[in-house]
This record gives sequence, structure tokens and C-alpha cells, in this order.
Amino acid sequence: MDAMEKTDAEKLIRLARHVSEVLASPADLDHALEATVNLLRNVLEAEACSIMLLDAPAGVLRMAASSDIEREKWPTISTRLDEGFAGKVARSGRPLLVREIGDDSHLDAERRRRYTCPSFMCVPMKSKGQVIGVINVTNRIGSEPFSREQLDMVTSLANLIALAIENARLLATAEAMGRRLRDVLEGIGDGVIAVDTNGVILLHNELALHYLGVESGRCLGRRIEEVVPETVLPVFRTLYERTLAERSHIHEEVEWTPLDQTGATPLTLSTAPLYREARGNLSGVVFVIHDMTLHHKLDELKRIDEAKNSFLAIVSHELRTPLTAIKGASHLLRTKLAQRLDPDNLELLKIVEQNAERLMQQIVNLLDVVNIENRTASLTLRRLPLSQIARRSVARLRDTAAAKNLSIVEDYSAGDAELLLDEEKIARALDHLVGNAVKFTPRGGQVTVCTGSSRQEAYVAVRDTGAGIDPALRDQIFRKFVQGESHLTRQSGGCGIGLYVARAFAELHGGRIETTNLEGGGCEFRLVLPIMHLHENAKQPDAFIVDIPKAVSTS
Amino acid sequence: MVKKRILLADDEEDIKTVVAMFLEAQGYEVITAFDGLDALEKVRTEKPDLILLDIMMPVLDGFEVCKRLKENEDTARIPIVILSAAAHVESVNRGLKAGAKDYIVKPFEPEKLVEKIEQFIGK
Repeated sequence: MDAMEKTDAEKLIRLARHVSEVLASPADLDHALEATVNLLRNVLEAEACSIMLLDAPAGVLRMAASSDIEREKWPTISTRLDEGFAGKVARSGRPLLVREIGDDSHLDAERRRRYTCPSFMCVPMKSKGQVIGVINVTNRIGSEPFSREQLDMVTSLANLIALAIENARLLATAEAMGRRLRDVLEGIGDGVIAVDTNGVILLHNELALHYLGVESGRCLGRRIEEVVPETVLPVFRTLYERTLAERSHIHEEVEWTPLDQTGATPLTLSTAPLYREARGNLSGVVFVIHDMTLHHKLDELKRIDEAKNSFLAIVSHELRTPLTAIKGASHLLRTKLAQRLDPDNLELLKIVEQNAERLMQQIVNLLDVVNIENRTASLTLRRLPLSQIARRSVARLRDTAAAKNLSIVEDYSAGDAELLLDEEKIARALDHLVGNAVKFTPRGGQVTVCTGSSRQEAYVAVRDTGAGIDPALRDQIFRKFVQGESHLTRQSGGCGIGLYVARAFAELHGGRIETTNLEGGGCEFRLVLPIMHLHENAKQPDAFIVDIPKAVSTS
Repeated sequence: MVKKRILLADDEEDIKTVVAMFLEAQGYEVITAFDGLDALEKVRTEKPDLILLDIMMPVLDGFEVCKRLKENEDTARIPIVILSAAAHVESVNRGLKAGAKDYIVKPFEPEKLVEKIEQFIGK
């Protein structure tokens, strides 16, 4: 008996040592558990040994390692918690020793035949009081069933194994989180460096090293002053100390030259305190380095654009005053001298007036652009038939068309509508459309202007017999200062703002401009406007409510 | 018949000459002022029937002139038409708010100007 106890105690110690050795560095938990079940089987002189782990959400125990079943089959084997000895042990958390295996009615006849000595033990594995799985030891080799001492031995070992499993799981979780953190750190577009309260670098990403001008290499564990260049170290130090003292986020704009770059890069340095526990002691500071180059370029572009707009406004204003004098003077001259001038001189005077008018139109166009860009364009609405504006627009361009031997055909029979609109702006939009048609149609061609309407919309269509629109340029032609042909080789005048202005004015009315290339050449520009429904407000006769249909169908 | 008297306040000599000649040809009597302060003085001494007012003038701008004339009981009733190269919506609104009857953006068709003048004071 004494010898036996000594042997068991020795075996327990040997087993415990082996098990802890196997589980000490569980790089691969599966193999560690497999080695453990084999050890247990050998020491206990059993036929088979297995470890099953609890899958609580599924309510089953799953095979994690077995000494007698092939590895490939482990994942397919599971036992429900409400059946068999294993389930009972997992539920109760108490070890179980069966001397006669016939007690387990759930074992089928085939499996019963495989074992020689019908004895069985099942022991729970507990971590922090919670069952995380069971160890099954089946059938003693030889005639004796398992002893009470052996059960106690396995029970003690089971908790050791449970602890190792939990550690392995925590390690795996920590590693996964570490990997995720690394991916996030490397994925964001900023440089990040975290430093502990001793100034030692806890983590960083590659971009941070790039901004600091440090070659990639081991920076973890080094002190921040060994890594950060001397030129910017004072900023880092100040921010570091302020962040720890104030326990708050700090923003600072700095400029320095990162490695392999020529000019200084504008950067912002932000910090945030790192806490050891929620709102507790500080454990360090995280620095975020953000490249401001793009922000600065964007600011610069905005400034240039604003300067351009105010330049346009000033220029057009400065041009207006002398133009007023020229127009007024030539007008007076003509009325005063009409009878006395010979045709040649009258023609010269007409040229002065016409060109003053052209200049004026260009200035109006520029001002339109300024007002659109500054969002200072507003609408003065009146109720007018669309065809009336179209007629006037055609009348204004008839001379220009005639000079090119173009005919302008008008057809308002397909439908017209009285719309609430800003006459001046719609007229200007139409002038651009008709003017473009005249401009881009070769001599002898034809321009057609017609109207149409549905219940919700009305339109003016301007068709020409020109070359049509290059589909590649279809979107570009609506951008300001862009024309369908190159600036140097173009045949027509203008500075490419007509369609931009026309579309902006259409959109101010809740409308749009549609473009279509016509079969057989030429194209159509269609100014489509919503028919706004006007109600007079009974309480305030002066107030109008303007409904602009939100969804405008294309019919 | 007594001619209607129009005060034309503008610091641009050429514009003053052209507009004055044109209005005189239409049968109006035109007196001119060269800046905002001069305009206020001429209103007091000449008692015009209508004022054509530029905005950007030295010493006192058109908005201020307009405001002061509207604050004074003696001059509040004289119709003011602003003639300005400032085509900005904001300045148009500011002019009308200051009490101007109309705001005409330069350059303008001379006939249009006469139309407006007739509308306010007749021929």
C-alpha cells in the first residue's frame, strides 16, 4: 500500500511536471493538449484519454484532443450538455468515477465491445470557478478499475490544464488584438508614437518614423530623445510635459523636413494622454503627426479662387464706368448728327456702338460668373410666357445669324407655358444657347428654336446643324472657361462661360440643361424649367409660396 | 413751362457730361455735383425735382448721401435714382434700403433712364 501511494505520488509529480512543461509555452494549443492526453493515458495505464472543451453558446462539449481518435475527426465529435456522463460532469462541475461502464446507457453496443475493462472517469476542468471542459479517461488496461486516488490526481491536474488553456486563449486574443492594432496603426494616414511616463517608446508606426526622419528599425523600448531629431525634440518635450500635466489633448503646428524629402513639410503634432485604467493614472502620451501639405494647398487654392473672383468683380466694375461714357457719348453723337453724317461715318459710329455693346456683354458674363461663384445671384420672379423670352433672344441674335447666312426658325406651336421666372437671367441663359448655336453652325446652316411643355415642366430647345458635341467633352463644356476646342486653334470667340452661366441660371430656377446630339448632325441644347405652382397666401396678400417640384421627371 | 430740375451727382466728369447733355436734349435742366458733400449742398441750394446719384464718390458715398436726404424732412420727398457701376445684389439692396426709388446699373440705355425719370417726375 505504502509503495503504491509512493508510486502514485511520484507519478502525480511526474505528470504535473510534464503537463506544465507541455503547456508552459502553448504556441500550438492543439498539440499541447494532444501531448497531455497521451501522457495521461500512459501514466494512468488507460486505453484512451480525451479532452473536450465547452462551447457554451452551442450547449455542447467539443473534442479538443484524443489519444485514440485520429486528429482529423476531432472537430466532428461533440456531446450535448444534456446527455452522457461528460455532459453531466460539465453541468455539475463535479468529477465522476464509473467502475462499471455498463452504467452509461448512452454508450452503444459497438463501443462497449471495444473496451476490455469497463471503468471510466470524467473530470471537469475549471478556470476561475467556471467549467471550461472535461477530461475523459476510459478503461484501465488490466483488470483493476480506476481508483479514487487516481480520480483525485486527475482532478488536480484538470485545473492546471484549464489554467493553461485559458492562458493560451488570452494569449491568442492578445495576439489578434495586437495584430489588429498594428494593421490599424499602419493603415491610418498619420504618424503615431506612444511613449510611457519614462519617455520610452511603447509603440509607433512606420509613417511616424518617416516623418521623424528615422530609418526603419527597432525603436520600441528606446527613449524618445534617441529617436526624435534634435530640431523638433523641444516641441515633443514641451507637448509631452504639458499633456501629462494638463491631462488633455494638445494641438501644435510645426514644420520640419522628414527624411528623403527636400522642403520642410507642414505638420501638426497632436497629443493625447494614455491612461493606465479608465480615468485613472496616466501611463504615457500618444503623439499623432499629421501632414498638412494638402490642407495648405487647398487653403491656397481657395485663396487664389477668392482673389480671382474679387479681381473679376473689380475689373468688371472698373470697365463699366468708361463704357458708360463711351455708350452714352456715341448714342448722343448719333442722335445729334444722324442727318449730317455721311454713310461711312455713320457706319464707323455704329461700329463703336456695337463693340461697346459686345464689351458690355462680356462684362455682364464675367459678373454673372462672380455672382454664381459667390452665391450672390438672386432671382426676381415674374410670370412670363417662355416663348416671349425665346422670341426676344432670337431677335437679339438675328443680325449675327444673318451675317453668317444662317436662318433661325422659330416654332412655338408644340406648347408654351407661363412660368414664374427671373426674366433677365433666363434671357441671358437663352442668349448663350442661341448665341452658341449661331456661333458653332457653319455658314448657310440653320438654327431652330422651339418650346414645349408638360404638366410639370416647360422647355426651350435650341437645335443647330453644326458638328455636334464630342461625347468626351459633354460634361466639360459646362465648366467655366472651357470650350469644346483648344484655345489657340479655335475659330470662334468667347471665353467659355456661356454654358456655365446658362446651366447655373437654369439650376437657380430648379431647372437644368440637357444636351443631345441629333441624328444627321448638329445638336440640341434644351433649357428645362419646372412649372412652379404659385399660391397666394390668404393672410398675407404680399407673400408668395413657391413650390419647386423636388423630383423632376424627364419626359 | 418750367423745366424739371435734375441733380446729377457723379465724380466721373465724362459721365456727367454725357448724361447731362442727353437729359438736356430731353428737355430737363441739369445741375451737377462732384462728390457726396457737394451733392448735399446742391440739394439744399438748388432744390432739384429728382436726384441721380452715383455710389462710389469721394468724401461721402451715395448710400450715406441717400440716407441723410431721407432723414431730412425738407429733402425726404425728392425721388432718388442711383446710377452705379456696382452691380452687386448687395449694393442694389443697400441702395433701395437707404430710400432710393430705383437702382440703375451702369452702363445703361439712355432711353431707359429717361423712362424712369418720366415715371417719377414726368416730362
